Amino acid sequence: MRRAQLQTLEPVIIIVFLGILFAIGLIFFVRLGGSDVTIVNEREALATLSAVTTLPELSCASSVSSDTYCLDLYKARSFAEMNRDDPLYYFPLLGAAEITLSYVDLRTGLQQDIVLYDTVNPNSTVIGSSTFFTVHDSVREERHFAMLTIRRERT
Amino acid sequence: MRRGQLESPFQWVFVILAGGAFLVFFFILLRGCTQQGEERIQGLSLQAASMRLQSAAWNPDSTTRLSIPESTASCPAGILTLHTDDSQVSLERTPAFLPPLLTGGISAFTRRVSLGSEIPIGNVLYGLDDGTYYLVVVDSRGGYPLLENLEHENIIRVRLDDLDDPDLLAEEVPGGAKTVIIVTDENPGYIRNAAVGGMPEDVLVLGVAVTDSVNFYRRSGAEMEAVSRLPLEHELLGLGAVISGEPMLYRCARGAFELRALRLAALYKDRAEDLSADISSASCAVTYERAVELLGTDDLGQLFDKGEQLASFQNSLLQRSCPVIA
Amino acid sequence: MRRGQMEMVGLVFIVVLLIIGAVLWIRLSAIDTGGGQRAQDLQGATSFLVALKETTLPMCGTSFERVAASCAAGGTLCGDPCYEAQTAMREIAQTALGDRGVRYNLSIEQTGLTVINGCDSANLSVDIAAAPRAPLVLPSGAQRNIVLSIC
Repeated sequence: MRRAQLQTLEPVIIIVFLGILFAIGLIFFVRLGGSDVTIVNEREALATLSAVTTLPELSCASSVSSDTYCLDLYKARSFAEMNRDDPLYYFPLLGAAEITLSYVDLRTGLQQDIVLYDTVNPNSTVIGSSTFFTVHDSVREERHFAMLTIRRERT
Repeated sequence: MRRGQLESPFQWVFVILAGGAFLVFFFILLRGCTQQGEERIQGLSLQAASMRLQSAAWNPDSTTRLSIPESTASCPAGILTLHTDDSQVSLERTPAFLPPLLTGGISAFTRRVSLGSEIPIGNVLYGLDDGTYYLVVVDSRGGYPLLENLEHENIIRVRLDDLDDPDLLAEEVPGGAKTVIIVTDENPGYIRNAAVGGMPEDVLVLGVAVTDSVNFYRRSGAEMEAVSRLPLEHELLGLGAVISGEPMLYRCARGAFELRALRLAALYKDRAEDLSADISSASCAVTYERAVELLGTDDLGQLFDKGEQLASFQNSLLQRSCPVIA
Repeated sequence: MRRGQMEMVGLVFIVVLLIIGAVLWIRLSAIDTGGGQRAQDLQGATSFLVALKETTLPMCGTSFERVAASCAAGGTLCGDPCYEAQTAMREIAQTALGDRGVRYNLSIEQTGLTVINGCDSANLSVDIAAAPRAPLVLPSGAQRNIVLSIC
């Protein structure tokens, strides 16, 4: 190539070079930014799960042993009913969230849902997370496979 | 190389350096904005500190150390409120016993309150402020044990005779201290005769005597005058009164605790009713019905009075392999 | 500064402004968290397995763990423990995972107990060897694993 041709192509080459730099930087930046958001949301969800399952309002009696989190079914029903009358009492602890306990009744094969707490603005965007438990039926002395779903307003 | 030939590579170097510098500067700026946002959340703001206190209050047996702007605690309309000169924040429904003046650092710890150690009915949080000193009056029998047994540099034991020395009290408390609370578990007369005359005027001097009730005092000139006398339902509430030093703040936290305790009692009552209806064992059902009668109260004092009986029901159900109440 | 160099600085400046604009646009626009949502939903794979083990099978009056262990050992707990365990696995996995759009392969090693929902070796997101698993201890002391693979 002649020197003159090279000189006219110089601006183009510069743009291409900077574009490559930009692409590399963007890949790193978006990956880091994206994972920060996910990590913060998961941490908040786990904190909420931990808070809920240690409340005496919901936890199984100390005499009931468990390798995983254990909620008491009868307490859960009463807790849900109390929160329908006074939904904001636990707001300082649980924030704006919808917490649903779902359990599988193997006798019927059906899923039963109990909304334990709901202070989510219906028009807001929510993100959710779930984890699995057993919920203890004290009368039948049975543990049902259960899922706790937390949907939180997206900030 | 000629000067003209040197120009071309020089331009390239210049472009790379300038472009790279811009990019690096930009990314640092963005990262800085993110960190600044996080620091604002975790900083010394009143809002942040109150959120941490509320969060700690929900966890039984937690220990937290946090910074807080210089502020005052009060209880307007029964809601615990923290004020600075230009802002305030409410800790609604938070059973936190705090002294009236907060000077920058709080060591907070919670305790779970139970009926007969079997049936949990909520937590209480105690906030030991860096600028509040507790002079625990000690005589031959000892001092107020719940406070005396806490490990904190602001808890100072003073002998009964020392209260006659007007200079000693001033010496025990470092300069710049804001609040002194004199604590005893017997004979409020000690508080009345405490030699507070030697204490600087800008120090808030309060007194709390825990007997079968809680008695509050406040400095008036060179003496302590009685302010209020309130019933004492549980020793952990008595400790709360001592930490607060002031009847309004004590009532505020006690009220928040009462709300939670009665909610839990109502939930346990609901549970006992459901169990009674669903259980097949008649002897279990009888115990549930008796528990339902005891749990049907809207008074904290009555709930504590029945605590031992409820705890015995709990044990009895456990021994008979019946589902327990709590 | 010479005119040529001034032009170069100007060009760099424009390019960097374009980069800033593009990055801000991408950063501030709504990011589709569909994949992130699924990832959060599945974070409890291990807790799924532990909860499954503790679940009571009402027809047997005992835990899934004991029934599955009996199946693995060739026992006769609850009549046909393999059938009971397989049924429970299918119903629980379908309700907790399948109905929420998750494709999975839930199995117990060396038992033939497997529940598959659109997930085979061709499209596993994690190799079987690295998939979450929970131990099942047999009466003999031997161990089998319950494995949950997600696609």
